[in-house]
Amino acid sequence: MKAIWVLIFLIFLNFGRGYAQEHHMNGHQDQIGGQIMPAAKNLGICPVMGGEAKEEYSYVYEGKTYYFCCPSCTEDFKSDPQKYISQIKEFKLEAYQFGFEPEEIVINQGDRVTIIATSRDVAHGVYIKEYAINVTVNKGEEKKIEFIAELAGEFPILCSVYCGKGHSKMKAKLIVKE
Amino acid sequence: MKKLLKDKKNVVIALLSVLFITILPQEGLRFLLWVLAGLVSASLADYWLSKLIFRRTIVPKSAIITGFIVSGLLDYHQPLYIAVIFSFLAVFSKYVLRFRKKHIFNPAVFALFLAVLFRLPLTWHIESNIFLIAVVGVYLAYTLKKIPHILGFLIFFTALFLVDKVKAFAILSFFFLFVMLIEPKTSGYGLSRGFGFGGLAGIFAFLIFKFFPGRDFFVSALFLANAFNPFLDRIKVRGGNWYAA
Repeated sequence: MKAIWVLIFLIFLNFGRGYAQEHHMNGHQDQIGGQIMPAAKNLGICPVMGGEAKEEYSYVYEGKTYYFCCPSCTEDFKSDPQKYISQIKEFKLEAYQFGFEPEEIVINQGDRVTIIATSRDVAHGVYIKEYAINVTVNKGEEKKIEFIAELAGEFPILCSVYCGKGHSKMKAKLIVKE
Repeated sequence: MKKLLKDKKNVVIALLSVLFITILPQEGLRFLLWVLAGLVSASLADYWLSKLIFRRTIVPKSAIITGFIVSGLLDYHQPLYIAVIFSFLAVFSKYVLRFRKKHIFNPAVFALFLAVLFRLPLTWHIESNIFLIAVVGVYLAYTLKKIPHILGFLIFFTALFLVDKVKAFAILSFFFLFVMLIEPKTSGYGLSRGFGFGGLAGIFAFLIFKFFPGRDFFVSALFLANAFNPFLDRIKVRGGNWYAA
Protein backbone atom coordinates (compact mmCIF):
# COMPACT_ATOMS: atom_id res chain seq x y z
CA MET A 1 0.00 0.00 0.00
CA LYS A 2 2.83 2.37 0.90
CA ALA A 3 4.45 1.61 -2.43
CA ILE A 4 1.30 2.76 -4.20
CA TRP A 5 1.32 6.09 -2.40
CA VAL A 6 4.99 6.57 -3.19
CA LEU A 7 4.11 5.86 -6.83
CA ILE A 8 1.31 8.42 -6.76
CA PHE A 9 3.59 10.99 -5.13
CA LEU A 10 6.20 10.49 -7.84
CA ILE A 11 3.53 10.86 -10.49
CA PHE A 12 2.38 14.16 -9.01
CA LEU A 13 5.98 15.32 -8.99
CA ASN A 14 6.17 14.52 -12.69
CA PHE A 15 2.85 16.24 -13.37
CA GLY A 16 3.87 19.22 -11.27
CA ARG A 17 7.08 19.60 -13.21
CA GLY A 18 5.15 19.60 -16.48
CA TYR A 19 2.66 22.09 -15.10
CA ALA A 20 5.37 24.47 -13.90
CA GLN A 21 7.17 24.19 -17.23
CA GLU A 22 4.09 24.86 -19.31
CA HIS A 23 2.91 27.78 -17.20
CA HIS A 24 6.38 29.26 -16.96
CA MET A 25 6.42 29.41 -20.75
CA ASN A 26 3.25 31.46 -20.59
CA GLY A 27 2.04 30.74 -24.06
CA HIS A 28 5.22 31.16 -26.04
CA GLN A 29 6.70 27.74 -25.82
CA ASP A 30 9.30 26.80 -28.37
CA GLN A 31 10.36 23.36 -29.36
CA ILE A 32 13.60 22.75 -31.14
CA GLY A 33 14.41 19.19 -32.02
CA GLY A 34 12.27 17.93 -29.19
CA GLN A 35 13.87 20.17 -26.59
CA ILE A 36 11.47 22.54 -24.93
CA MET A 37 13.19 25.83 -24.34
CA PRO A 38 12.58 27.82 -21.18
CA ALA A 39 10.77 31.14 -21.65
CA ALA A 40 13.84 33.19 -20.71
CA LYS A 41 15.68 31.78 -23.74
CA ASN A 42 12.70 31.71 -26.05
CA LEU A 43 14.56 33.11 -29.03
CA GLY A 44 14.07 30.31 -31.50
CA ILE A 45 16.81 28.98 -33.71
CA CYS A 46 19.68 30.82 -35.33
CA PRO A 47 18.72 31.67 -38.95
CA VAL A 48 22.29 31.05 -40.11
CA MET A 49 23.49 27.85 -38.44
CA GLY A 50 20.26 26.55 -36.93
CA GLY A 51 21.63 26.35 -33.39
CA GLU A 52 19.94 27.66 -30.27
CA ALA A 53 19.72 31.46 -30.54
CA LYS A 54 21.07 33.57 -27.68
CA GLU A 55 19.99 36.97 -26.46
CA GLU A 56 23.46 38.51 -26.62
CA TYR A 57 23.77 37.93 -30.38
CA SER A 58 21.07 39.97 -32.06
CA TYR A 59 20.60 42.21 -35.06
CA VAL A 60 17.69 44.43 -36.05
CA TYR A 61 16.79 44.28 -39.73
CA GLU A 62 13.77 46.06 -41.22
CA GLY A 63 12.31 46.56 -37.77
CA LYS A 64 12.57 42.89 -36.77
CA THR A 65 15.07 41.52 -34.28
CA TYR A 66 16.91 38.36 -35.26
CA TYR A 67 18.85 36.29 -32.74
CA PHE A 68 21.88 34.14 -33.46
CA CYS A 69 23.92 31.42 -31.83
CA CYS A 70 27.34 33.10 -32.13
CA PRO A 71 29.00 36.36 -33.26
CA SER A 72 30.15 34.94 -36.58
CA CYS A 73 26.56 34.06 -37.52
CA THR A 74 25.54 37.64 -36.73
CA GLU A 75 28.22 38.93 -39.10
CA ASP A 76 27.26 36.46 -41.83
CA PHE A 77 23.64 37.57 -41.55
CA LYS A 78 24.57 41.27 -41.69
CA SER A 79 26.48 40.72 -44.92
CA ASP A 80 23.44 39.28 -46.76
CA PRO A 81 20.22 39.28 -44.68
CA GLN A 82 17.90 38.30 -47.55
CA LYS A 83 19.86 35.11 -48.17
CA TYR A 84 18.94 33.85 -44.71
CA ILE A 85 15.51 35.43 -44.38
CA SER A 86 14.38 33.70 -47.57
CA GLN A 87 15.18 30.35 -45.93
CA ILE A 88 12.80 30.97 -43.02
CA LYS A 89 9.38 29.52 -43.81
CA GLU A 90 6.62 30.62 -41.47
CA PHE A 91 3.22 28.90 -41.36
CA LYS A 92 0.09 29.28 -39.32
CA LEU A 93 -1.51 26.01 -38.24
CA GLU A 94 -4.94 26.13 -36.66
CA ALA A 95 -6.23 23.06 -34.84
CA TYR A 96 -9.97 22.52 -34.48
CA GLN A 97 -12.48 19.74 -33.79
CA PHE A 98 -11.55 17.67 -35.84
CA GLY A 99 -8.81 18.74 -38.20
CA PHE A 100 -6.00 21.14 -38.97
CA GLU A 101 -6.02 24.18 -41.21
CA PRO A 102 -4.11 23.98 -43.56
CA GLU A 103 -4.12 20.22 -44.11
CA GLU A 104 -0.72 20.30 -45.78
CA ILE A 105 2.47 22.21 -45.10
CA VAL A 106 4.95 21.97 -47.95
CA ILE A 107 8.57 22.95 -47.41
CA ASN A 108 11.98 22.17 -48.83
CA GLN A 109 14.67 20.13 -47.15
CA GLY A 110 16.99 22.43 -45.24
CA ASP A 111 14.35 25.13 -44.65
CA ARG A 112 14.17 26.77 -41.28
CA VAL A 113 10.54 26.36 -40.36
CA THR A 114 8.38 28.29 -37.92
CA ILE A 115 4.89 27.00 -37.23
CA ILE A 116 2.56 29.27 -35.27
CA ALA A 117 0.05 26.85 -33.77
CA THR A 118 -3.35 27.99 -32.49
CA SER A 119 -6.59 26.32 -31.42
CA ARG A 120 -10.08 27.29 -32.52
CA ASP A 121 -11.99 25.46 -29.78
CA VAL A 122 -10.56 23.13 -27.12
CA ALA A 123 -7.02 22.08 -26.21
CA HIS A 124 -5.23 20.23 -29.01
CA GLY A 125 -1.78 18.79 -29.54
CA VAL A 126 0.54 19.27 -32.50
CA TYR A 127 2.59 16.11 -32.84
CA ILE A 128 5.19 15.36 -35.52
CA LYS A 129 7.03 12.24 -34.44
CA GLU A 130 9.93 12.43 -36.90
CA TYR A 131 10.84 15.94 -35.72
CA ALA A 132 10.24 15.17 -32.03
CA ILE A 133 7.58 17.88 -31.83
CA ASN A 134 4.80 17.52 -29.30
CA VAL A 135 3.17 20.79 -28.28
CA THR A 136 -0.12 21.40 -26.50
CA VAL A 137 -2.07 24.44 -27.59
CA ASN A 138 -5.08 25.75 -25.69
CA LYS A 139 -7.86 27.89 -27.10
CA GLY A 140 -6.70 31.48 -27.36
CA GLU A 141 -3.02 30.57 -27.14
CA GLU A 142 -0.34 30.88 -29.77
CA LYS A 143 2.57 28.44 -29.68
CA LYS A 144 5.69 28.87 -31.79
CA ILE A 145 7.34 25.69 -33.07
CA GLU A 146 10.71 26.03 -34.80
CA PHE A 147 12.80 23.40 -36.47
CA ILE A 148 15.10 22.77 -39.40
CA ALA A 149 13.64 20.46 -42.04
CA GLU A 150 16.50 18.00 -42.22
CA LEU A 151 14.48 14.89 -43.10
CA ALA A 152 12.77 14.67 -46.47
CA GLY A 153 9.46 12.87 -46.88
CA GLU A 154 5.83 13.02 -45.84
CA PHE A 155 5.14 13.13 -42.13
CA PRO A 156 1.77 13.03 -40.41
CA ILE A 157 0.83 15.86 -38.09
CA LEU A 158 -1.41 14.42 -35.40
CA CYS A 159 -3.32 15.72 -32.41
CA SER A 160 -1.75 14.34 -29.24
CA VAL A 161 -4.36 15.65 -26.78
CA TYR A 162 -7.77 13.98 -26.62
CA CYS A 163 -10.18 16.58 -27.95
CA GLY A 164 -13.44 14.72 -28.59
CA LYS A 165 -15.02 11.94 -30.60
CA GLY A 166 -13.14 12.70 -33.82
CA HIS A 167 -9.75 13.02 -32.16
CA SER A 168 -8.24 10.08 -34.05
CA LYS A 169 -9.29 11.64 -37.37
CA MET A 170 -7.32 14.84 -36.77
CA LYS A 171 -4.55 14.70 -39.33
CA ALA A 172 -2.46 17.03 -41.42
CA LYS A 173 0.68 16.44 -43.43
CA LEU A 174 4.15 17.93 -43.36
CA ILE A 175 5.73 17.47 -46.79
CA VAL A 176 9.46 18.08 -46.95
CA LYS A 177 10.68 18.09 -50.56
CA GLU A 178 14.23 17.09 -51.40
CA MET B 1 -24.58 -17.78 -29.02
CA LYS B 2 -26.42 -17.04 -25.76
CA LYS B 3 -23.78 -18.98 -23.87
CA LEU B 4 -21.08 -17.02 -25.61
CA LEU B 5 -22.66 -13.67 -24.74
CA LYS B 6 -23.06 -14.69 -21.11
CA ASP B 7 -19.37 -14.03 -20.58
CA LYS B 8 -19.15 -10.27 -20.95
CA LYS B 9 -15.47 -10.51 -21.84
CA ASN B 10 -16.56 -12.10 -25.12
CA VAL B 11 -18.89 -9.17 -25.76
CA VAL B 12 -16.09 -6.68 -25.12
CA ILE B 13 -13.69 -8.63 -27.35
CA ALA B 14 -16.32 -8.70 -30.10
CA LEU B 15 -16.90 -4.95 -29.73
CA LEU B 16 -13.17 -4.17 -29.83
CA SER B 17 -12.69 -6.45 -32.85
CA VAL B 18 -15.46 -4.69 -34.78
CA LEU B 19 -14.06 -1.26 -33.85
CA PHE B 20 -10.62 -2.40 -34.96
CA ILE B 21 -11.87 -3.81 -38.28
CA THR B 22 -13.87 -0.63 -38.92
CA ILE B 23 -10.81 1.60 -38.72
CA LEU B 24 -8.35 -0.83 -40.33
CA PRO B 25 -8.94 0.08 -44.03
CA GLN B 26 -8.27 3.72 -43.20
CA GLU B 27 -5.13 3.17 -41.16
CA GLY B 28 -3.61 0.27 -43.08
CA LEU B 29 -1.04 -2.46 -42.54
CA ARG B 30 1.01 -0.57 -39.98
CA PHE B 31 -2.01 -0.31 -37.66
CA LEU B 32 -2.75 -4.03 -38.14
CA LEU B 33 0.81 -4.98 -37.14
CA TRP B 34 0.75 -2.57 -34.25
CA VAL B 35 -2.46 -3.99 -32.75
CA LEU B 36 -1.34 -7.59 -33.37
CA ALA B 37 1.92 -6.84 -31.54
CA GLY B 38 -0.07 -5.52 -28.58
CA LEU B 39 -2.46 -8.47 -28.57
CA VAL B 40 0.24 -11.14 -28.79
CA SER B 41 2.43 -9.46 -26.17
CA ALA B 42 -0.42 -9.06 -23.66
CA SER B 43 -1.82 -12.56 -24.25
CA LEU B 44 1.53 -14.33 -23.93
CA ALA B 45 2.44 -12.30 -20.85
CA ASP B 46 -0.86 -13.17 -19.17
CA TYR B 47 -0.60 -16.84 -20.05
CA TRP B 48 2.97 -17.24 -18.80
CA LEU B 49 2.68 -15.04 -15.72
CA SER B 50 -0.44 -16.90 -14.63
CA LYS B 51 1.35 -20.19 -15.09
CA LEU B 52 4.47 -18.96 -13.31
CA ILE B 53 2.86 -17.20 -10.36
CA PHE B 54 -0.45 -18.99 -9.78
CA ARG B 55 0.34 -22.26 -11.58
CA ARG B 56 -2.89 -21.87 -13.51
CA THR B 57 -3.42 -22.32 -17.22
CA ILE B 58 -5.75 -19.64 -18.53
CA VAL B 59 -7.36 -18.47 -21.75
CA PRO B 60 -6.11 -14.87 -21.69
CA LYS B 61 -9.37 -13.12 -22.57
CA SER B 62 -8.68 -10.17 -20.24
CA ALA B 63 -5.26 -9.77 -21.81
CA ILE B 64 -6.79 -9.66 -25.28
CA ILE B 65 -8.98 -6.77 -24.12
CA THR B 66 -5.95 -5.11 -22.51
CA GLY B 67 -3.89 -5.56 -25.69
CA PHE B 68 -6.67 -4.06 -27.82
CA ILE B 69 -7.07 -1.04 -25.55
CA VAL B 70 -3.34 -0.33 -25.12
CA SER B 71 -2.51 -0.65 -28.82
CA GLY B 72 -5.79 0.93 -29.90
CA LEU B 73 -5.17 4.10 -27.92
CA LEU B 74 -1.41 4.51 -28.36
CA ASP B 75 -0.15 6.21 -31.50
CA TYR B 76 0.72 3.43 -33.93
CA HIS B 77 3.41 5.46 -35.69
CA GLN B 78 5.76 4.56 -32.81
CA PRO B 79 8.20 1.65 -33.16
CA LEU B 80 6.51 -1.75 -32.74
CA TYR B 81 8.41 -2.56 -29.56
CA ILE B 82 6.48 0.25 -27.83
CA ALA B 83 3.23 -1.72 -28.32
CA VAL B 84 4.95 -4.88 -27.09
CA ILE B 85 6.48 -3.26 -24.00
CA PHE B 86 3.42 -1.32 -22.90
CA SER B 87 1.07 -4.26 -23.42
CA PHE B 88 3.43 -6.41 -21.38
CA LEU B 89 3.65 -3.76 -18.64
CA ALA B 90 -0.14 -3.58 -18.52
CA VAL B 91 -0.47 -7.30 -17.82
CA PHE B 92 2.57 -7.31 -15.53
CA SER B 93 0.96 -4.62 -13.32
CA LYS B 94 -2.00 -6.96 -12.80
CA TYR B 95 0.27 -9.48 -11.08
CA VAL B 96 2.43 -7.03 -9.17
CA LEU B 97 0.34 -4.08 -8.00
CA ARG B 98 -2.12 -5.89 -5.79
CA PHE B 99 -4.04 -5.11 -2.62
CA ARG B 100 -5.90 -7.82 -0.72
CA LYS B 101 -5.34 -10.32 -3.52
CA LYS B 102 -6.88 -8.01 -6.14
CA HIS B 103 -5.12 -5.85 -8.67
CA ILE B 104 -5.62 -2.15 -8.03
CA PHE B 105 -5.17 -0.62 -11.45
CA ASN B 106 -6.99 -1.35 -14.63
CA PRO B 107 -4.03 -2.98 -16.48
CA ALA B 108 -4.53 -1.08 -19.73
CA VAL B 109 -4.93 2.20 -17.88
CA PHE B 110 -1.75 1.56 -15.90
CA ALA B 111 0.29 1.09 -19.10
CA LEU B 112 -1.36 4.00 -20.86
CA PHE B 113 -0.70 6.21 -17.89
CA LEU B 114 2.98 5.29 -18.09
CA ALA B 115 2.81 6.25 -21.76
CA VAL B 116 1.33 9.61 -20.75
CA LEU B 117 4.22 10.15 -18.34
CA PHE B 118 6.67 9.35 -21.13
CA ARG B 119 4.86 11.89 -23.32
CA LEU B 120 3.80 9.28 -25.86
CA PRO B 121 0.73 10.55 -27.71
CA LEU B 122 -2.57 8.72 -27.36
CA THR B 123 -4.50 8.92 -30.63
CA TRP B 124 -7.50 6.76 -29.61
CA HIS B 125 -7.85 5.09 -33.01
CA ILE B 126 -9.94 2.28 -31.53
CA GLU B 127 -12.77 4.78 -30.90
CA SER B 128 -13.93 4.32 -34.48
CA ASN B 129 -17.72 4.07 -34.10
CA ILE B 130 -19.23 5.93 -31.17
CA PHE B 131 -22.78 4.72 -31.88
CA LEU B 132 -21.77 1.08 -31.60
CA ILE B 133 -19.76 1.88 -28.45
CA ALA B 134 -22.77 3.62 -26.93
CA VAL B 135 -25.24 0.80 -27.71
CA VAL B 136 -22.98 -2.06 -26.56
CA GLY B 137 -21.68 0.10 -23.71
CA VAL B 138 -25.14 0.72 -22.24
CA TYR B 139 -25.84 -3.03 -22.46
CA LEU B 140 -22.54 -3.81 -20.71
CA ALA B 141 -23.03 -1.16 -18.03
CA TYR B 142 -26.53 -2.45 -17.31
CA THR B 143 -25.66 -6.12 -17.16
CA LEU B 144 -22.42 -5.55 -15.23
CA LYS B 145 -24.25 -3.23 -12.79
CA LYS B 146 -22.08 -0.26 -13.63
CA ILE B 147 -24.72 2.40 -14.22
CA PRO B 148 -23.79 4.20 -10.94
CA HIS B 149 -20.21 4.55 -12.18
CA ILE B 150 -21.35 6.20 -15.39
CA LEU B 151 -23.80 8.47 -13.60
CA GLY B 152 -21.21 9.48 -10.99
CA PHE B 153 -18.72 10.33 -13.70
CA LEU B 154 -21.18 12.22 -15.90
CA ILE B 155 -22.62 14.30 -13.06
CA PHE B 156 -19.26 15.52 -11.76
CA PHE B 157 -17.62 15.79 -15.17
CA THR B 158 -20.40 17.82 -16.79
CA ALA B 159 -21.06 19.97 -13.70
CA LEU B 160 -17.43 20.99 -13.32
CA PHE B 161 -17.03 21.67 -17.04
CA LEU B 162 -20.25 23.69 -17.00
CA VAL B 163 -18.82 25.88 -14.24
CA ASP B 164 -15.71 26.31 -16.39
CA LYS B 165 -17.89 27.14 -19.45
CA VAL B 166 -16.60 24.20 -21.49
CA LYS B 167 -19.05 21.93 -23.32
CA ALA B 168 -18.36 18.63 -21.58
CA PHE B 169 -20.13 16.49 -24.18
CA ALA B 170 -17.97 17.93 -26.96
CA ILE B 171 -14.89 16.34 -25.42
CA LEU B 172 -16.43 13.31 -23.77
CA SER B 173 -15.05 9.95 -24.87
CA PHE B 174 -17.69 7.24 -25.21
CA PHE B 175 -14.97 4.62 -25.35
CA PHE B 176 -13.69 5.79 -22.00
CA LEU B 177 -17.17 6.00 -20.49
CA PHE B 178 -18.57 2.68 -21.72
CA VAL B 179 -15.49 0.48 -21.95
CA MET B 180 -12.67 1.73 -19.73
CA LEU B 181 -14.50 3.26 -16.77
CA ILE B 182 -16.70 0.22 -16.16
CA GLU B 183 -13.94 -2.39 -16.20
CA PRO B 184 -15.40 -4.91 -13.74
CA LYS B 185 -12.48 -5.83 -11.50
CA THR B 186 -11.04 -2.40 -10.73
CA SER B 187 -14.13 -0.22 -10.52
CA GLY B 188 -16.02 -2.00 -7.74
CA TYR B 189 -19.70 -2.73 -7.27
CA GLY B 190 -22.64 -1.15 -5.49
CA LEU B 191 -24.44 2.14 -5.74
CA SER B 192 -22.30 4.25 -3.35
CA ARG B 193 -19.04 2.61 -4.33
CA GLY B 194 -19.76 2.91 -8.03
CA PHE B 195 -21.03 6.46 -7.82
CA GLY B 196 -18.01 7.41 -5.70
CA PHE B 197 -15.61 5.81 -8.16
CA GLY B 198 -17.23 7.47 -11.16
CA GLY B 199 -17.44 10.79 -9.35
CA LEU B 200 -13.76 10.69 -8.43
CA ALA B 201 -12.83 9.91 -12.02
CA GLY B 202 -15.00 12.83 -13.17
CA ILE B 203 -13.38 15.25 -10.73
CA PHE B 204 -9.86 14.10 -11.63
CA ALA B 205 -10.65 14.36 -15.35
CA PHE B 206 -11.71 17.97 -14.91
CA LEU B 207 -8.69 18.87 -12.76
CA ILE B 208 -6.24 17.31 -15.21
CA PHE B 209 -7.96 18.95 -18.18
CA LYS B 210 -7.81 22.30 -16.41
CA PHE B 211 -4.35 22.25 -14.90
CA PHE B 212 -2.36 19.75 -16.97
CA PRO B 213 -3.72 20.25 -20.49
CA GLY B 214 -0.96 18.30 -22.21
CA ARG B 215 -1.81 15.06 -20.40
CA ASP B 216 -4.54 12.66 -21.39
CA PHE B 217 -7.21 13.54 -18.84
CA PHE B 218 -9.29 10.38 -19.22
CA VAL B 219 -6.46 7.91 -18.74
CA SER B 220 -4.87 9.95 -15.95
CA ALA B 221 -8.20 10.39 -14.16
CA LEU B 222 -8.96 6.69 -14.27
CA PHE B 223 -5.51 5.84 -13.02
CA LEU B 224 -5.96 8.19 -10.05
CA ALA B 225 -9.47 6.89 -9.33
CA ASN B 226 -8.02 3.34 -9.37
CA ALA B 227 -5.41 4.45 -6.83
CA PHE B 228 -8.27 5.17 -4.44
CA ASN B 229 -9.60 1.63 -4.74
CA PRO B 230 -8.22 0.48 -1.37
CA PHE B 231 -10.21 3.32 0.28
CA LEU B 232 -13.30 2.89 -1.86
CA ASP B 233 -13.30 -0.78 -0.93
CA ARG B 234 -14.17 0.25 2.60
CA ILE B 235 -17.52 1.63 1.46
CA LYS B 236 -20.15 -0.85 2.47
CA VAL B 237 -21.91 -2.23 -0.57
CA ARG B 238 -25.45 -1.00 -0.41
CA GLY B 239 -27.97 -0.95 -3.18
CA GLY B 240 -26.05 -3.47 -5.25
CA ASN B 241 -29.31 -4.66 -6.68
CA TRP B 242 -30.98 -1.29 -7.00
CA TYR B 243 -32.14 -2.26 -10.43
CA ALA B 244 -32.84 -5.66 -11.85
CA ALA B 245 -29.94 -7.27 -13.63
